[in-house]
Amino acid sequence: MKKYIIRKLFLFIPILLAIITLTFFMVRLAPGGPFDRDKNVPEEVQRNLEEYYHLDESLLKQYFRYLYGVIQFDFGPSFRKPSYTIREWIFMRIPISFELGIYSLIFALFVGCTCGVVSAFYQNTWIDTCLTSFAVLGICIPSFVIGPILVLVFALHWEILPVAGWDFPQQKILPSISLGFIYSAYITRIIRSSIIEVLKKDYIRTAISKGASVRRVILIHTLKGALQPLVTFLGPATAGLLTGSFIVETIFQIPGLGREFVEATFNRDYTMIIGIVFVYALLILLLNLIVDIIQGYLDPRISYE
Amino acid sequence: MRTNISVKFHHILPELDKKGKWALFLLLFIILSSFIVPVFLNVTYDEQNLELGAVKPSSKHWFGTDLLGRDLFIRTLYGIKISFWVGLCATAVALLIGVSYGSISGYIGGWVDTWMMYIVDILYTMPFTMFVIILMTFFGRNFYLLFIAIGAVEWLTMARIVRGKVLSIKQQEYIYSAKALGFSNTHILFRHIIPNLLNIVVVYTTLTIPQVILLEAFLSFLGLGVQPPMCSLGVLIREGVEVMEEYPWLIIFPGAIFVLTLLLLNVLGDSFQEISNEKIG
Repeated sequence: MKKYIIRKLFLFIPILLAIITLTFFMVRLAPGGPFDRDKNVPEEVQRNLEEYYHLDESLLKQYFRYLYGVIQFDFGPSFRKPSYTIREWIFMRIPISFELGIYSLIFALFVGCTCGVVSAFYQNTWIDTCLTSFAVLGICIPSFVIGPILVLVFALHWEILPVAGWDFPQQKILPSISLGFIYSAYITRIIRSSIIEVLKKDYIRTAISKGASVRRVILIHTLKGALQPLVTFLGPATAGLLTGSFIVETIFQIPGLGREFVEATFNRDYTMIIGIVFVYALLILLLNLIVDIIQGYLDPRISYE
Repeated sequence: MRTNISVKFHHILPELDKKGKWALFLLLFIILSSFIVPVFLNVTYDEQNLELGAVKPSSKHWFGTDLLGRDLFIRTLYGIKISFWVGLCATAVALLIGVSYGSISGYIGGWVDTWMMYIVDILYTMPFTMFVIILMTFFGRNFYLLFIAIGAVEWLTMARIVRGKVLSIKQQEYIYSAKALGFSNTHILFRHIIPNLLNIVVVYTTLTIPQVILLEAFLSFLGLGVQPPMCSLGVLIREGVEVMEEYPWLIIFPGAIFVLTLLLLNVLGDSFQEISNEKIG
């Protein structure tokens, strides 16, 4: 187990290196630059700026300079926001994206598990039909459709929740639901089908024949067995929730990492783009590793070879 | 061999369950009307009428008009057409890469297979959405680049599925016979293996198209997909969100049509998958 984790951690290095290299050259070989939008910069200022950011050096030299910085977790200064370094900037933004991601995850898990269990419990009744339809429909409603609709209904029509922002608890409800909605539909489907699958197993029949009530069997015996597909799904889903909030942060004007990234690409803020991509990639890798470990814990038959 | 496979494929359609048949019927209806209806109307999707401005849905403009007085019904039909085009073309790119990569990997086998699949595993962990965003902002919002960028993201699962199928086909007796008869590897791969992948590829393609349409809409929503004056459903939703406070119909109609399209595609994909699980396996 320990050996497996260490080997995986070592594998991170070439993957991250590949990601940084790919991003660096993709960004740098493209036409346009970060100072294009500044009007009429005097030539000397331009030269000073380029010198300050080492843009006058050869691309390879810049690449190795950048890599050397990344090893020390230093992504250099931002091109568009000179008052902070990229590292400070990312550490300022990450907690906001994480908070949003965690609220959405809680929402998705709560709604998904409840609907899934109820749906499996009342299998083939009208309740089940309603909940399954909700799940089928839910996975077709992406955040950029549900978000505006929630704003339209709750913020503009009924005026009970604010339209945007990220300062008060009330402002955090709509973005969290928008981001978590599609995942709650997925979780409903997964929980329902895996509970029904587990219900066919021998040990469930044994439990029922020994006199356990159906309620008890579902809540205690099957849920644990149904957990495994959920964990497999939750790995990439959590990565998506914590990091994939480009759209929701843009709609609700939340100052998180996702919006920062979109802004940085529009501004051609080279260092910021590579820094954020690096942080995301690292997070995804770590989450995948955690999922692997939890799966081994849930199912000892999985071997780490 | 060929005829045998095409018979199998023809058998899929009658075996679709009721849900699947309805979904297919409605989808064809939507797609056909997006091609046919505009021909009979005397307005185009980009015809402006600034004096009219944004008006509510009425019998003259079924979905209302936008700020520039363009008829939203026509624009939605046009958006469906573009979204499907992007969906089909990008899926074709994903198919091309995925099927060739997966079949080569599975057919050669050995350490080549191990390494090729290892690369796929690594690519899975990459933040591809971000790469696509970077690509689209930096290299101009080219319509063709859009297909390639989306296709380059979506081929991974296809490659994995195809590779698994090839591994099992490779064990079939007719492949051994073909080898014994002295056919070249390329001949066996293209004449005997790839045609037998048809069923699984059809199933997976129907599941990929909605994902591609979703990704395109996501990019268009960020302003990185299809560019004006062209419009896809994603572009319409983006335009609607900007003015939804005053003109809610501009978000409601394109949004509803978009969700309906995805829903039909997903239901159809599920039905196909069920058949393939039962019959083809």
